[in-house]
Amino acid sequence: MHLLDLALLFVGGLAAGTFGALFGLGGGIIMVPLLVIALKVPMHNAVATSLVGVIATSTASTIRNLGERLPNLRLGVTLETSTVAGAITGGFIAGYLPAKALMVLFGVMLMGVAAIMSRRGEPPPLLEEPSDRGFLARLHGSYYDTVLEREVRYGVRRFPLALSVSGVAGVLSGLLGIGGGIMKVPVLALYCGVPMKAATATSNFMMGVTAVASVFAYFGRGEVLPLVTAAAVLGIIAGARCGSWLSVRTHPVALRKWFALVMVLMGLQMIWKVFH
Amino acid sequence: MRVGVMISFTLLAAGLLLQHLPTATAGLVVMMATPLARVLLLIRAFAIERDWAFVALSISVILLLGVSLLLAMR
Repeated sequence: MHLLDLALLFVGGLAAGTFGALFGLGGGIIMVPLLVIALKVPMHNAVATSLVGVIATSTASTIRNLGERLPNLRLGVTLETSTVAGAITGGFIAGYLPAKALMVLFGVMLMGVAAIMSRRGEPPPLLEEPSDRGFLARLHGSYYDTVLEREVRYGVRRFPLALSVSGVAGVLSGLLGIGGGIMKVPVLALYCGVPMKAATATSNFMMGVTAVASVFAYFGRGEVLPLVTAAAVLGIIAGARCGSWLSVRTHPVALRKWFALVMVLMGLQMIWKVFH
Repeated sequence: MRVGVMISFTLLAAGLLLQHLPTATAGLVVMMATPLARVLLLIRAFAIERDWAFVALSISVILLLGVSLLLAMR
């Protein structure tokens, strides 16, 4: 490998890691197109690299977020059952699909995300005192918001929706090397009553486990390129620290605006892919 | 987890600088083990709280990961 290529991989990882930790994207959305288009890495290897990057982002940002009590671990591990099952499915199906099919699917996924985000609604008011009894009540969470300077409590609504979306996110994660946060975070924040920061942190916590579930399949097929992955992952770890640091020091409303902007950029990225 | 990241980080950097594949691969394996360690710690934490429903959920996630590993090694 050329030293310049490895340096570029590191810089790409740095950008992907920052955005990943900030928005719960896992960075794959940036990493995969960068590897395939700019660095001419074959699609399956790019997905495998991205999956290891997702694990790195997840672990690095979770270490930081746990101190702030941001990830909802009970919610995370519950949703993880469907996400992991989906990721295993996706990881193994990818072995039977040609690179072009995966690339088209990646483009379609970006378009779908842009469409969903263009009709964003306002998040519902938080259920400060969860009224549910039984299992759902045990998924409620709380954290101290450093910007609002108060304890934020919330209950989880529409749990079956969250579980289904997590499963689909898992399949896409395994197929495309993305974290799946792109699907989980908006659904948790807009429909399930989880505050944006907690949704992002919970998704960040989950996606490492999700990526491990499918990366085994890629590893087994010999599609993980150690040096390419090492360079990208080191960049991602450094980037994740920046992103995580930024995420607790920005206002939630501002964070949502940035999140929306990332959605628009991804739509443009998709169009770029189609016409070039 | 923090220690795992440090070890992985060191191995990846060393493997990269020396262009040494086994070292970089070892770094990747340690990196892949960190989420597993996280779920195992979660099982312990839920068990201490005697929150058996979540112990069971966490164990089922670990079992699924085991299935994935077995399928990949076939």
